[in-house]
Amino acid sequence: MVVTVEYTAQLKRAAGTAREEFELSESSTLLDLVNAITDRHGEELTRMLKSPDGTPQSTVIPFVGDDQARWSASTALRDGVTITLLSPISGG
Amino acid sequence: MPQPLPLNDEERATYEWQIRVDDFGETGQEKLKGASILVSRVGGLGSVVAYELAAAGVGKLVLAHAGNVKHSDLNRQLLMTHNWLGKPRVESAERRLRELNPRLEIVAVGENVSEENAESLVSQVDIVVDCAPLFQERFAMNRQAILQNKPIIECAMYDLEAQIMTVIPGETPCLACLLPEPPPEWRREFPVFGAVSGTVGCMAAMEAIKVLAGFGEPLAGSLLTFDLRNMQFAKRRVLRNPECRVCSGI
Repeated sequence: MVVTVEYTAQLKRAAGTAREEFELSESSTLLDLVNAITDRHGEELTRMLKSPDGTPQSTVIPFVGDDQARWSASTALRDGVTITLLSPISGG
Repeated sequence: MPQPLPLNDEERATYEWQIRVDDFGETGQEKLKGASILVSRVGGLGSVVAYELAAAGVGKLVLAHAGNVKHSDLNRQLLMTHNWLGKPRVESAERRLRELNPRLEIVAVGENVSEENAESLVSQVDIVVDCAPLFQERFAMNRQAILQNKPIIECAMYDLEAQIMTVIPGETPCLACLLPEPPPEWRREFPVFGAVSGTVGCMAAMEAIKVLAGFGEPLAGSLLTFDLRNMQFAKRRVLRNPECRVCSGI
């Protein structure tokens, strides 16, 4: 299946793109997607997306379509869906 | 929520155009007159929030912001002026707001929100607008807003992007539901235009007005995100965290 990933704020800057597609095997989950992203990109984006123990950073908020998903829920993806990875930002 | 206060003739004349708004009316204006709001800080976001709330006729603003005006503030902090460089930011904000609305009660605090002062600052108001850059300030405000059952508007910006969400304690996700800990990769200084902070500041002021006056549909349980680079807006559904360290017991 093919999914689209949208990055925001610092994640977008580290990825060097606002959106890109990933081809994943059927029944892939959000965690599989994060591994695919970090395989494609460099150290900076990997550091933002994963904790030192390899689990997703809890402060990056994933959305499948317009609905928030939980990293812990092993969310299964489906063909054609857009996943937004929301970077934490602040005021000032 | 605020105790409505009756309007005088000058106030009716000043707010005539917004009193015509459906579902708001003179009753809504009386609620704003009786309302008090904490805005922290009064930088790129908070300047515009405070200015719009002052223009709308709220009764009292509590402003918390440490430090003096710097050159790098002036691209977005619209309550700061060139002739106030080197002087306290919160005094510049108070001066500009009084020029706009001399009836407004202002409590100007020359400190940023912290674990030490958050309880006292939040206790003085009906609602909080979080415009702070540091996550420890934001978490302190969020925690006190939840504990004191006060709505809090969360707003943030980066580059040409912004996010805004309204927290109703006990009903919607809070900041700590979304961000269980300070983000490790976040940096204090970031790119932004004043027009971006101003856009989300106006939205935050409107959210506060809707919640205070009890009309419209606030962003309760929703996070509005937008990117002015391509004018893409999205209203996303966010989840309460049943294990949230702040609001799970409420």
